[in-house]
Amino acid sequence: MSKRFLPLLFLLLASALPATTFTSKSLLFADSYMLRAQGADANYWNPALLSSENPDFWMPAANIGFFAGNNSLNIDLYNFIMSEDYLDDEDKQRILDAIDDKLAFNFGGQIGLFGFTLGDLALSGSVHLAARAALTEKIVELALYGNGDGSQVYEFTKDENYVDALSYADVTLGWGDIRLPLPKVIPDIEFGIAVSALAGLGSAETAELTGFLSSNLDGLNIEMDALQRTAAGGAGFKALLGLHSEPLKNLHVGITLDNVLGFIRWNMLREDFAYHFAADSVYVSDIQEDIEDLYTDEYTQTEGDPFTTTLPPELRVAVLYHTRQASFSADLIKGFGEAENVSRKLRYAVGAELTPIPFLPIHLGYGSGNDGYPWRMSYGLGLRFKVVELGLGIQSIETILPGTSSKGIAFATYFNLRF
Amino acid sequence: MKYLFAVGVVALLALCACDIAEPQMPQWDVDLTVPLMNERFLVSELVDSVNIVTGENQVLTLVNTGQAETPIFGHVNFNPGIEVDNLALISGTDVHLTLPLIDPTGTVFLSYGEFTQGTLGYYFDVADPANTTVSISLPDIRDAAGNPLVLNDDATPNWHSYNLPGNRIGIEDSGLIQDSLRFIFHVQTNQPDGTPVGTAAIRLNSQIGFRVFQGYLYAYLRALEGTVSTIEIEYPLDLEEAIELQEASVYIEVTNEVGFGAEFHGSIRATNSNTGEVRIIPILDNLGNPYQVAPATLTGSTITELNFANNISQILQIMPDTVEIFDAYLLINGGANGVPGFVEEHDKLYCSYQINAPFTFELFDHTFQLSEVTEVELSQENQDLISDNVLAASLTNQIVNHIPIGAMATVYVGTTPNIDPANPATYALSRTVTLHSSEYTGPDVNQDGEQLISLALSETDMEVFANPFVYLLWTFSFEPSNGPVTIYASPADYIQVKSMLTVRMHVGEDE
Repeated sequence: MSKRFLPLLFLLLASALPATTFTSKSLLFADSYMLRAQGADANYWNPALLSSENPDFWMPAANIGFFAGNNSLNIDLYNFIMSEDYLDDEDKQRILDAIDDKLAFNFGGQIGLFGFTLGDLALSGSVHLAARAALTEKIVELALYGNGDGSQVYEFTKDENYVDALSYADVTLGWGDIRLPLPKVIPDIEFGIAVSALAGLGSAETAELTGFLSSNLDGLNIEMDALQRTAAGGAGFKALLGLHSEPLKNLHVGITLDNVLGFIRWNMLREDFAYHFAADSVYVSDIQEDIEDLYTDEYTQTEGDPFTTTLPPELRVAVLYHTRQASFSADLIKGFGEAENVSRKLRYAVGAELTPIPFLPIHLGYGSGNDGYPWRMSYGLGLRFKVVELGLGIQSIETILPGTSSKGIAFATYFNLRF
Repeated sequence: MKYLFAVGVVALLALCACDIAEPQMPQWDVDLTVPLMNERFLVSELVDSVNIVTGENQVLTLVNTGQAETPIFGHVNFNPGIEVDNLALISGTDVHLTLPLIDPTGTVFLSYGEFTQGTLGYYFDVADPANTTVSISLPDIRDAAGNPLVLNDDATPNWHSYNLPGNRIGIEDSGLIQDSLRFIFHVQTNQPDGTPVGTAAIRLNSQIGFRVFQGYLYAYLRALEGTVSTIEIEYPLDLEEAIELQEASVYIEVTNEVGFGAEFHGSIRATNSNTGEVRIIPILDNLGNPYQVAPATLTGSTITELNFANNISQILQIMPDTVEIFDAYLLINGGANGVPGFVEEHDKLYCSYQINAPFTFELFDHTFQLSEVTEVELSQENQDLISDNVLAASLTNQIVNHIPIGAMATVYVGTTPNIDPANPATYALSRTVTLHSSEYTGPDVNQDGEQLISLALSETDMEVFANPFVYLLWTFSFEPSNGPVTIYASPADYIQVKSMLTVRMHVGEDE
């Protein structure tokens, strides 16, 4: 046994977390952050919270967050496999049980380029990267068990096999603390809006993937069609609408709708990579023939048509209660589509900030999981002074504490000036 | 950057306490199924158009052929028995004498002939040889130039001989029977006319033979001898113990260069040399009569086709390994369709015969084995591969049998060539597979006519393949047919075989 450098392994494994909106500090609360975002952060979480009372300035390049993980593998499983001289059926099943339909990897990151507030306004810019890849569990099953008696037909679809990536930069202008004209009996409700000009840096998408494999008395039958669409250089837009209220003292509620009218139109460089492979009823006895006659394969690279990446809207509802020495929050998140950074599956996140020592906040968070989004725990530690706030934290996937059972890890730092 | 570096170091330190095992590939077993073949074996592929053909109604038919021919026809002979003595010779008078030219046996009736044998004897006895000349004209006998034969007296009072070969008799193609022979004796002398000058005698009382003959032949027999070839049938293994042919016919094609019609007489003799059983059947038509062979015509030879099916199955039921035409001859009885026939000495009758045995037979439960074991050499690499990685194997065949033949095959696998199926100590393992016929109805065949046949080898069984040489001995037996079955060679008659190999393999690095 030896000590190894874990991040390398995790990066190799990539990650399986469906990316979602995050900024560096939000990672420390497992994304239960909608009502915690202040200053320039609010441009991405709830612009209603933009207020001249919370001036903010991001230290350039000091607000960074990234994550990498997967939905199946962890160090424990790796150690287990390496420790076994022989994998029996029980061991194989343990490996397969760890995989939920697909071996999915995901990683992403966000770098805050700049951000500052001016009264109720904020202007910020950041770079976002989200990528995901998946390989069906059937491949692992094939490797471990073989194709058995040949009775099974292995089908491959885009749902379980894909490589997607999206990278873009934004320049976001937010305007918040807009009080809605409501009767006095109704608590104040602030409205905010942030609009983002998006610059598409790169996109890769598995647009089509269908195939099957079988090997039995009907011969070896393989068919695979894949279309990978890539692009670089695009422009787009999105808007974030938010509401905030404090109906009771220290109790805040909010609702946001992100990615309103969100899209990136890819007009500049576009390449489509299409691959087709088919082998129909091939038998060993056929191999004496010219083997190239036994299959067809075709690889084409063409300039793709301009296309639009739609950023599906995402609804978030949150509540935050804070006391003198702690704050607690809960966010409920629901996307209205599937994309590299949005999931249609409902999930929630709860977060806490403990400040027994006021200048030394402790950040905690828990994000629930769903079929494509494992649960995670976040831990962070900051230093908060009157004009400076900084901190760092980590996130552990499907384990309470980061360790050999984690299926991924996330790091984040933040460094803001308040003036 | 220092800030970022510090953050990174802190974050990584938080995780560096994890223990990660050295990469070490474990081992495990996988079951791999590989499709081996998908072949349709059409019965019609057996047709080679030589020994196996597609017969009537697309029935697969075994064909064997043989030839026979008569010796060259040779000469037509008979002895006319002509003999005249003391014939008076008168001065100044021609003596005309006509004698019958008849075969006393009644066999030969001559119309025209070219002599190849025969001697004419004549004798003159004159009183004054110095002043007397005698000649004999035979207007019915001519030389090659068409001049009548004239024999002159050389005045010697002895018997003289004249060899007839080279002469002709009769009128070619006239159709008239030359049943007499004319002689004209012409005497020249210095004596007054009417004066007896001596006597003469004529003999043609030995065999006369004709190289070319026209006329009639009765009860004239020519044996098919000399070059009669037999049909040798080699059955693979002792297949004849397992099947019994039910139908057969003989097709005989007679090419006749002889201008006489004939009756074909003979028998077919079949012999099973293993059992010693012999069966002989006469070659007769459906009415029990001999087949008729048509005469050649003036334009050339004729071909007569004889189809003979009666009782052939009887001889094939003993599964003979030799079939031959036996005791065959041609009997000429007359001419050619009512007119005189013709023949030349080198004419022959050729006879080719063909036994057509449709694949209609009955199958019996009899086990027969290949006479030799099959040796399989395994390289060290393959031995190691099998012993180290292959744990078990199973060959699965999906067979659709559209042929009414079922069989059971057993393979005996051993490490020495001395495999005796009766002695389990001589082989390491054996496996038996059964292929049902198309007539089979039962649980082994599904509604689509597919039957699954599997051959499984366990890890222990596989050990035999870790030897440098492996020997295989096959035995077979047919599924009894319970009656005759017929094998057709249409596109719908085939055996479709799909097979796949499932191997349990050990993967991973060896220790």
